[in-house]
Amino acid sequence: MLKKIFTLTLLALCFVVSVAFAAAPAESLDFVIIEPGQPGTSDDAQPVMDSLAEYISAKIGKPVSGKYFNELEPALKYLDDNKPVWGISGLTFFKSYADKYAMHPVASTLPQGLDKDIWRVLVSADGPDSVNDIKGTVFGSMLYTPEARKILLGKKHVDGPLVIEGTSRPLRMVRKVNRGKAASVCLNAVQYSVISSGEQFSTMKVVYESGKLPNSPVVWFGKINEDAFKLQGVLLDMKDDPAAANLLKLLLTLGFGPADQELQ
Amino acid sequence: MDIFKKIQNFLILVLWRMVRSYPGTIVICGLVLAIICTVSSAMFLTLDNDQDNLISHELPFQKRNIAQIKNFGDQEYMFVVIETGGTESGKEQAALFASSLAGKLEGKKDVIHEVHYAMSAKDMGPGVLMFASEDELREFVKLSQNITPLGREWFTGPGLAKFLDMTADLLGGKSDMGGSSASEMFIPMMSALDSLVGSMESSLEKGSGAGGQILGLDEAGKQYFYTKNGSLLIMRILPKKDYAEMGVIGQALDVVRDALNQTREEFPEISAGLTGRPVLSADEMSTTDKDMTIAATISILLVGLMFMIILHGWLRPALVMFSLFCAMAWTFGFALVSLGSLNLLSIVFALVLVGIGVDFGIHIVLRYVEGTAAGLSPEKAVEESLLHTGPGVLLGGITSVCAFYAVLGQEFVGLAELGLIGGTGIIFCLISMLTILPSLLLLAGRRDLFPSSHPRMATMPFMEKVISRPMMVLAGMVVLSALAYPAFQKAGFNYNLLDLQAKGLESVEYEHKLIKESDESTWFAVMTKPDLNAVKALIEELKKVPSVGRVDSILNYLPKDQKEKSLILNSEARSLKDLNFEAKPVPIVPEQVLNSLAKLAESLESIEEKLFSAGAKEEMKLISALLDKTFACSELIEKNPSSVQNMVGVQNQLVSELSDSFAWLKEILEVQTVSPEDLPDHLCSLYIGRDGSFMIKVAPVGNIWDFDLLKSFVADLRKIDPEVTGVPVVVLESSLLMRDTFTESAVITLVLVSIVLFFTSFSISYVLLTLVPLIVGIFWLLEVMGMVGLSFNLANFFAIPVLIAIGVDGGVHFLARWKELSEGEKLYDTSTPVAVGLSFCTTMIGFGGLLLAHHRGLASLGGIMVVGSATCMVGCMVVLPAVFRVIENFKKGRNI
Repeated sequence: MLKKIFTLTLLALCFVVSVAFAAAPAESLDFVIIEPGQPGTSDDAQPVMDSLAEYISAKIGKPVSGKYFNELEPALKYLDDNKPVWGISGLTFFKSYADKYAMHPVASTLPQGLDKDIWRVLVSADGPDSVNDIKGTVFGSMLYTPEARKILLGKKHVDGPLVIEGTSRPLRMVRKVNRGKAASVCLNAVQYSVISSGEQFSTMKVVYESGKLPNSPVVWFGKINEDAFKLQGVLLDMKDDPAAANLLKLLLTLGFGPADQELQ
Repeated sequence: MDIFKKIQNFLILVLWRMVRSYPGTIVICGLVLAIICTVSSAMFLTLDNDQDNLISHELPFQKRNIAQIKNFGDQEYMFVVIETGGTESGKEQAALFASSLAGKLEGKKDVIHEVHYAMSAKDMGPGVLMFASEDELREFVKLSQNITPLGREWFTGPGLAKFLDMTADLLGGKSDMGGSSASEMFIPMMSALDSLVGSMESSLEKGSGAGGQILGLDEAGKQYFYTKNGSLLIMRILPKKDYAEMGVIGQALDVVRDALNQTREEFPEISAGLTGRPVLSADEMSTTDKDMTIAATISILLVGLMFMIILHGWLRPALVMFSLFCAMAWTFGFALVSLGSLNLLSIVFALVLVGIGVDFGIHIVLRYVEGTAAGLSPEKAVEESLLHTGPGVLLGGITSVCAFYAVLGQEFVGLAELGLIGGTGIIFCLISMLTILPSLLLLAGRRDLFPSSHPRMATMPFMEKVISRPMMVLAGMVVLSALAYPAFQKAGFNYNLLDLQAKGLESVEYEHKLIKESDESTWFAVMTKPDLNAVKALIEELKKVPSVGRVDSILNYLPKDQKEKSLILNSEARSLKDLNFEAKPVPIVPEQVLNSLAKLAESLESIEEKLFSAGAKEEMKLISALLDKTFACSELIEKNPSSVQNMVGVQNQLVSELSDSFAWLKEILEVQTVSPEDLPDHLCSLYIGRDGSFMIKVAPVGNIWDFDLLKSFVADLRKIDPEVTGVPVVVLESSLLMRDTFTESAVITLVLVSIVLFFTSFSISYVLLTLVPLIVGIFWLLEVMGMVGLSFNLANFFAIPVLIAIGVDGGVHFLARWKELSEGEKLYDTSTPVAVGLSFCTTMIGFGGLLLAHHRGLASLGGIMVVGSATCMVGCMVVLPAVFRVIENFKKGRNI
């Protein structure tokens, strides 16, 4: 009898323990990077996401996995169906959907070490001198979301006649503008740095410059908690960590800085 | 009169009778012999520039060194040091610099034996993968598993179109090659593709086939020889040596320096320089050669000018120089007959003869001048000169000969040969100055060819005032010497051979750079062991020695854990078994190639967009250039579809390269073990001797040119292996041998000179008096050296025997003349002080030119000779006459 009671008690204990473990799985810090208009595919970028996940997981001690989207619709669908904890978001995406997905900036990217971005509208050298006189479409890798127009032109000029369109091939558009086969192209600071140093694009001119814009922010989905601060610390330290050097190169940033005040 | 003096006087008398009777015959005979000697020496006398031949081959350390060189061959490399700045782009530029330089040296096999600056995977032989860790091997196997299906697809119908399709798929991410996506593979992959598309364009345009490698897969995984901290890239160049040539590697050095200058023009932002032991030696030789030429020109001009002023006119100096020329020519003849060649040290004998031999002539001529001034006929003046000055000249000459012959039989063969040739040369100078010069004076005097006026500076009466209070003079000298005594204790010996080199020399600067910024050393000690187990044990032992830096042996090229690694690799090798490496290329179809080019262009554009968004300007340039070529190919084919047949050569080459690469992949996966025999020949020859023994190269930690460090390094190694050899051992032993030989010869010279002086006079006081100028002069020399911070070194220690010779010579002449003086006659009223002073001045001027030398060793030789000659001159012209005066006063006081 005693043996039976002992065995049942043991079985009950095992059950309780296993239920307890099942009910409290290790909390993961899954992330998503959403950069509409960037070239390549999600599959191309997956190895980089895995490397970032591995690095963050090693630093924070929690399981991490990551996804990359450079197209708007799949990104929105993913966010609707999943609950990533944090992410890196393109500026236009952040401006458009920050409220919807409760995104809070915790850090900012520093592409080529620049802490601010500037968008420039370029036309061929014999084209119009003002952005308002452009006849045709302005293509840009960042011009995907509804907010892009506001970011580029500012709230005052948002109702003008200018037509904008997103493209995942901005360089091809630059070539087209250069050959007179497209009206205009909009480039961010990194893209413009390539054009401005190359002789082959000397027959183009800048007709409009946006003000200084925030870079793509690192965002926390939902309420900021202790893990968000931990993540912020890890990201801010990455630029001084030799082990992160290659990863930062793959992420196209020289490191991470504090969250941009403008986005708070 | 003692027997020695009788013989001396008899000899001089015989010489005088000959001179008086046959002056013309003597001159003609001397000249004919000189011409014969000059011509035969020019034709047959050779130069042996091999530094190893300066030391006796019978010495144990030298025996081991020679045996090691015979067994393992010459491994004395020139080093091109290329600065990278420590950055990745700097390293890439340095690698391009090295490749470009190596390319320029490729066709110079006649003077450049080997060039090493990088190693490709193929250079490591079939066991290359065995050097990876087991984890790395698993990664490689994974990569190989990805490549195998691609290979299988490729060999079903290899051709240009298929290759372009497969590449486009890889670049577009449609197929996977694992590691190919790694960022470090980007540049090599794009460069290979650029080379292929470039060859295609060229074939389509010009109809030419493939010229050489297309993909350059043989170069894959090339590792350049960067130093541990990556700041330098080292190229090792083995030059051809010619020991009959002054710089030994002169031709090779010219070729490398030319190529280096051309490469510098191509890469103006890269700093690079040449160094290494043979380069330093050649530069040293070239610098000393230039310095000696300048010094000789200056000294000839100044001595000539002084002779013309003091000896009044050009004829008397010309007769002295003619006699000297005859003596030098005979000496060349003697060198030819006795040794057949001159070495690096004995080649300077001519300088020695100019410094010492000409002094004999000065004494003869000035005594002749003194005689003619006193109204003697030319015949009488020559007789007076020969009979009275001759014995002093003879004795001075014999003491000089003692200084040189003192080194005969020494193990330091280079110096012994200099001693033999220099000593014999002085004998020839004596003969010439006692026969040819008097004959010439007689002939010229009889024909009245000399100017009727007399030289202005035949005597120095003002010096009588200086020594009129001899005790005061001597006391002053003693006080000054005592005050300067602390400096005497500072005079030391500097063994650092790099400190002898000219400042600012590129080879010296880069040697310093190599010492400071790398674990490389241009010097390494060598140990040998009969088998690999002994090599392993020795290396373990060497690792414990703090003074030991890098250790290189064949074990560096023999991987560990071979069995486990071969198991990992062999499993994958099986999957490559069914590939048909012999598959023939398919025919080229224009439409297929056009489609493939379009596909490739699309993939490239996609990559270009990514690079554009990333701001990667440099990488973008590569892709843009590649795209331009791709579009150009498409346009050419569209214009003329049949032109694709021009690309058959390119396709064949491509297929052949890939077949070879897959075959090689299979070979390296199938490898079971790697033994020394499996390694490439150039590696084996570096570490395996002709007798099958293994060489272990041991480099030191720190600056090996520092003599204390060198000593402790060699001592540490000898505790482990007493038979150790190599450059550090040879340099250490040679330096110590040189120092000991010089010290020993200085002592022997002093003893021999004292014996000769004693047998001339049978008087201890005579010997001591004769040595006064030398002892005082050397003491003051050491004090001055201490004051100005001049040290003895391996270049200037040679000054000591020469100073002994000239110091004693001055004393001999002063003492001889002092003894000759009749009552009331004063020493400074005779021509002897002027002759002795002139001798010292010619030596000072002769060696003084070296003070301008860039080579610091030569400059220090000049410094010691000038200071030593000056101090000996003061000892001879001030101290010795003051001592004479004290003795005279003493004798007068005692009415002796």
